[in-house]
Amino acid sequence: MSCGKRSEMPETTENKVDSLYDVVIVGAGIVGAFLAYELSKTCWKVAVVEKEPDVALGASKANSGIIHAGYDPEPGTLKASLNVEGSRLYEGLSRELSFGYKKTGSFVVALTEQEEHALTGLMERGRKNGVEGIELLSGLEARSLEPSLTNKALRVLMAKSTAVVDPWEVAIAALESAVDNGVRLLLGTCVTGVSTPMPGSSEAPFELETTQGRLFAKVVVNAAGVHAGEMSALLSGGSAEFEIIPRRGQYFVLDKAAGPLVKRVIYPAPSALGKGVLVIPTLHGNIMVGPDNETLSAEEAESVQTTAGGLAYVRDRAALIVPGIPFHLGIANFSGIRAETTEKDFIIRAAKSHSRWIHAAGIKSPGLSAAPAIAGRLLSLIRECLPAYSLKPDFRPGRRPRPVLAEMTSERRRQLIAENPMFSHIVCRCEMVSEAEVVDCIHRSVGARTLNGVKRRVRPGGGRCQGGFCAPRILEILSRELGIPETEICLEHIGSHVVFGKRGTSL
Amino acid sequence: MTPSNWTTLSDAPPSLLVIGAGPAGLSAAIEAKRCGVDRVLVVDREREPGGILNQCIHAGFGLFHYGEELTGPEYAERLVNSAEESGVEIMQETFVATLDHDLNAVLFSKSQGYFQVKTKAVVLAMGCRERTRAAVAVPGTRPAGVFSAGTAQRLINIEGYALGQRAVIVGSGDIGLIMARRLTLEGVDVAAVVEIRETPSGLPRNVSQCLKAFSIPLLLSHRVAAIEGTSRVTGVVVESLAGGAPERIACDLVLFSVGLIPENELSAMTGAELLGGTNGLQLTGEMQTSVPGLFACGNTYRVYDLVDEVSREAGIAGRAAAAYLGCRKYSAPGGADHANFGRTTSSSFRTKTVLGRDRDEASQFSHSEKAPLLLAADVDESVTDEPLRCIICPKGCRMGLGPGGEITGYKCRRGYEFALQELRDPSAVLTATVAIEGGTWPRLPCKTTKAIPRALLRTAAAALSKLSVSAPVTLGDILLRDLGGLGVDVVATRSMKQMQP
Repeated sequence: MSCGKRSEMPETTENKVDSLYDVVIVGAGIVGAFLAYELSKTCWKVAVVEKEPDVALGASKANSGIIHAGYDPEPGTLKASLNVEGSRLYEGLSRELSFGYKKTGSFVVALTEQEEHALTGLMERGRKNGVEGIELLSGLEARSLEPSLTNKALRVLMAKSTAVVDPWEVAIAALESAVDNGVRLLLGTCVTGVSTPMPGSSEAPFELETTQGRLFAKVVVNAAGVHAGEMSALLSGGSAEFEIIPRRGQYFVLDKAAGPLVKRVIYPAPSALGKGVLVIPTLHGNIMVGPDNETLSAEEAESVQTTAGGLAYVRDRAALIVPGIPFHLGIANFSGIRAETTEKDFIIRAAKSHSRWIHAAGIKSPGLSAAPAIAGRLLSLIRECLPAYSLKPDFRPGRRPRPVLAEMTSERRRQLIAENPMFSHIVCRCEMVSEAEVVDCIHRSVGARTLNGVKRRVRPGGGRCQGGFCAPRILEILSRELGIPETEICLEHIGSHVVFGKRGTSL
Repeated sequence: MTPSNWTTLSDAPPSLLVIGAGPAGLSAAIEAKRCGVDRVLVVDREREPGGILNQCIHAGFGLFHYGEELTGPEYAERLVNSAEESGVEIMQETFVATLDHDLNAVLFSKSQGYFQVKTKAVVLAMGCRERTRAAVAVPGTRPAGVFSAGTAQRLINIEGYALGQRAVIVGSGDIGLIMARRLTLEGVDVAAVVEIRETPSGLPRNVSQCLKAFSIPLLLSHRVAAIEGTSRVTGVVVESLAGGAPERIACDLVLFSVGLIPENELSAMTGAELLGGTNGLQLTGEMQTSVPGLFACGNTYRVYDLVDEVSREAGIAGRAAAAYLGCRKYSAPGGADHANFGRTTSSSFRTKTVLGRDRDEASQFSHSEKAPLLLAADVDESVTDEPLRCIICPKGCRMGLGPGGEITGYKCRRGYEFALQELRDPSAVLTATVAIEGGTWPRLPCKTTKAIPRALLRTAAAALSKLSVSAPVTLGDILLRDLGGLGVDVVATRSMKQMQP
């Protein structure tokens, strides 16, 4: 069986959504992104709806960015199997989808005898979960590898397969390829209501009311992150199938000058509260420290502020495993919300009230690590609902690699500049980003529309000046490339305009 | 070693590379050139030379260096003119990607592409950057409407945007204080300046001229406990270090003025010894770093209060670099060469007039706000409460009234005259921007030719905002005659070319 050619022009911005899809994914986070990529290989007609003006703006934007090895989750859980499976898929996906991935390895540090026992427990879990490359080191051995580690470390569990990524870049890469292969991405589109077909009916589609019009879907995947509980309530007429408990974690980002502090991700011994406060070497050579773990009310699902208390806690806890962290080199603080639920494990199953409504909810840690495997699991569930499964003959894996001037050889730089002189115009001094890279990220199929969108894709604003120098230039380029006035450019969310009209005109 | 593609730039490599075309780099380059250095190349990241002075449209520069009070753009234009007259080559929109211990530089240039330069001597003059919100770890959300003060200054003064209607300024650094006044003149309500320390960190003259003169509250020993708002900032929570209930101040704009730090990426790459604590450079008396042939000046070395001092010390760096290159004209700092350094043609106003459109509207605002004349002896309590701060020079002498109504505390005649004027009829030169059509930027900085009553500054600024002129404009061109019947003209404080269509 075959199906139509993929569309020449990806439809990401069209407002008219009144049509029938085989699958509608609600939420363009890391789970929605990997699922969209999987589904773009099939002949099904697929749409992703996202309420924000960019992808990966929820939990996928603000987390530790770690691909965990998989020794932590309890054996036998979805978390355990999908973490290990997902973690193994990442390296290949990073090449296929062209996103940054760095295998740093990790330490889990025991400071007390009790914590030493916990490490033995982790070794055992790791063995049961099928994690390779884990071993126990003495404190001395560990310090010879990581001199910044506390001298109070009694024993350390080393995992070689722990890696770091930019989580939003992973989501953008997967969605970009999905859109190039015919998936429709509907940004700024919030699902506000659901008309449910009779449970017995095998054909009648769901009708989704959105802020941009109606959508019909044979299968709906609820990948709405912290809003997955509300989505489940829309399905079953008000009562949620599960409850999301937002948990906030706060972080410090330190200047690259702090980069040499550690080579590996450093974890404390885990406790009932989770993995604890980590010291993380990022993909770009910064150091990230966090998170704390604060339970919020359901109404605070988007309360991504930092607090003095939370930041102080992070600072104090991190100092126990890595004393002497140069916090005076801080360049940003942020917080992210994880979608905990009333259930311990990931919720990946058909809704209780309807078999063609599939939940992918409660994707807390290790959700990022597990996401590629979660997509595989979801695909199997969708295949049970949609019998006509076939692969697209003209599917093209991956995406066009992003040109990264800062990482190129001199030869490659000369070559690109000869083709496009905008490569020799540096607009971001901190991260050495050229105008050509900014223009490129705007015109990709999941292109940047906001200042922060450009920052996440090509890094101006992510360096030590935090946009102080480059923001005026990026505004200018966004305005020129999108053909809209600077006064319509937003920082991030809808309504977050950066500048207003010239004096004497508007405001 | 001549790189293969150097020929696209010129026939021979320069003798001296200066990194940064702000006041430090230009001053050093001019001096080096005057000392006989063959070819001096200044490279700079921005579109125009002059550095951060271009956005500092206020007055207060040049009292020592030029012997008269100038605005930032005027100071910059004098330096650029001097540089061009002395044969310094300036290459804009050019970024030095790396500089090693042997002074090999790799550069990206918008017009010249990607190339290497190897010179025997290099002067570092990259300036500084603003500390950000994260450096002081202010908690809260990360909405739109939160800027560092210098970024806001650029967006308002050069790019011509409005940023909000009600502002809170965090930190009392000089840029923050100057922006408090600037925002006020732009019609923005500045709700407060919040400073965690017991004393303001900016210069006394800026506290006096920018805050007190406009009754802007300065909350000392207070900190911002949180920034609020999801899409756009809606307010800040402020608390006193002494305790008490936190107070919420509603605003849609927050500026951070929490210090400056030297730009040191290139300095660090060369292996030059850095100064602990400030991240500036460890220099010897001749403005030399620990790397042979590598000199530094301006804010990349240490953060200065005054551009005049930057120019003076950068001149030393330029002469030292020239001496290092074996140029004979070098004379010791403080010598005859130095005394006349940089003092080229005075900017006497030219006769050409570019009268702005809408000048009638701009010149006819009400005089009703004009402050009544005061005799020193009649000054009320509110003035005598706070000692009078002299703003004539950065010493900022504290003056006041003696028991007999006589002026006390002044240390020079100009100070006395300032005090007399301040008590009788407080006044100040107005610096602002006007719209310009067809120019390289949408706003043109300007100033009044004389001081006007302080009570009229806001009204005059509002009137000026309606004025529009056309490029090209030359520094000193009269944009408006007899502003509001006050007997002062409004003149351009920079030249601006016509943009190529």
